[in-house]
Amino acid sequence: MNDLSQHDDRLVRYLDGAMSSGERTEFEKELSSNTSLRDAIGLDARVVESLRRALAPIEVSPANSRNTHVTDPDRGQPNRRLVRYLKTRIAVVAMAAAALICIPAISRLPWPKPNDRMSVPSVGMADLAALYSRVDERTIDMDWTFADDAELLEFMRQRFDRGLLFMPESDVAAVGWIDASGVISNSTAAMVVRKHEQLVVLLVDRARHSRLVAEAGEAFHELSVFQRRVGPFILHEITPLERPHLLELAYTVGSEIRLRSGEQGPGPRTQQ
Amino acid sequence: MSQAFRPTQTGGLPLVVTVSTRLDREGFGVRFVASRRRLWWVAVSILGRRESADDVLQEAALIGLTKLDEFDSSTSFDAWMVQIVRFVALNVARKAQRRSSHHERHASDLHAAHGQDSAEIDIAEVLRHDDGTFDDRTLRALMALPEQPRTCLLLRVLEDLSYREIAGMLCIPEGTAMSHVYRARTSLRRTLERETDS
Repeated sequence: MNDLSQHDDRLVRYLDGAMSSGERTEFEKELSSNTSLRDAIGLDARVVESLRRALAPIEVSPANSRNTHVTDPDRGQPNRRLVRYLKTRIAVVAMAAAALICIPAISRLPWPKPNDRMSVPSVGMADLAALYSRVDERTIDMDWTFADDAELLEFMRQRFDRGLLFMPESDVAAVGWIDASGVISNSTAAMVVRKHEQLVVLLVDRARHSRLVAEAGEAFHELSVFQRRVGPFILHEITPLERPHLLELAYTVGSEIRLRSGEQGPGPRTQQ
Repeated sequence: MSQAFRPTQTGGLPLVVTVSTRLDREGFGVRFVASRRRLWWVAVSILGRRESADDVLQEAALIGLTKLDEFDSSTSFDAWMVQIVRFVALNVARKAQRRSSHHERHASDLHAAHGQDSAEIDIAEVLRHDDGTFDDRTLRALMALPEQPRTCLLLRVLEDLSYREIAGMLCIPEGTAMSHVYRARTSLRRTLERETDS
């Protein structure tokens, strides 16, 4: 066995994504010439994959995904990628169901039970509309407001471990942020802005928490929900307007960027 | 856009399920669903397998519902549910261990009654404990770690939670969560390297 103990700290920090970009570049340079280090990285990847295979929950698509009203931010039409995604998921679920029917003999193996408990619930339009109504009727106060981009960036990093900012736009006025824990996940935050005298709510969460927005009811026909993935974030814009305005303003900010008080964000050109 | 942000005078009114002083059943459902994946890792880190994890979460949810009055909504829902999930998972693991010991005793009695020689039993033992697949060796190495580092490792590496989130869930300092992940990761790698070398 090669003695890698002297590299343990750097190995773990590298795998954890905790290195600065300079340190990472230097480490990767060393990797190219150090077989033991490379093997260790490879072994860790195998371990992670192995644990995922053995222990990760097996998820199936939401039961009520037929009436999906998520729309593409650019086209205002049903999101084609979403449709493809649904088709793929349906095919996968159908194959899984067929396998479960055909091989009862091995049912004692650790197969997940194909019941409702395994399903990933979607975010309902009703939930989003209810949230919007409460904002619109001012029955919710803002939890946070930020004096500048530096404060907002700090908030994002604290809540999501990643940076997200928005390009300034003259006719968009920020009202504040709400702790929307529980709407998509426990980390969800909602930004409220005013545009054309209308309130618009933007849900921000990590992309891995992304869930379909399904089943729009008649009562919500005046609201639209648009979604966009921005780096590690998933954004849902709930708006009474015809098209999304906030989604295109969002950009991610790398961990190397530090803003001083009052300083404006670097803009999307420097995004990760 | 940032110039439009101004400090508010009011505190935050809770939103949907997070803000009421008491969690109702519907709110519990929403929160539970949102936390389900991370609670899953707590369950499997104790069980060492996923086939009972679903049942553990289901039972934990039922217990949580019956004890809703005891939950203080100003505290962390995840941390509260982790305690319940741990309790249920440990019970399930203990029961499984008891069953396994019982089966082993029963098998040993059968062997004795039929006069089988010890060599045959040894081979069975070797086959059971020396499964050559990488997944099995990884799982064994994982389960050889103490429970808390195991849980921290799974939450960090497979659920991608931040150390702050892990610390909040498990009610431990952030530094401890970090150190658990560091040691668990290093220990796993060394164990598997040793096995490969030998």
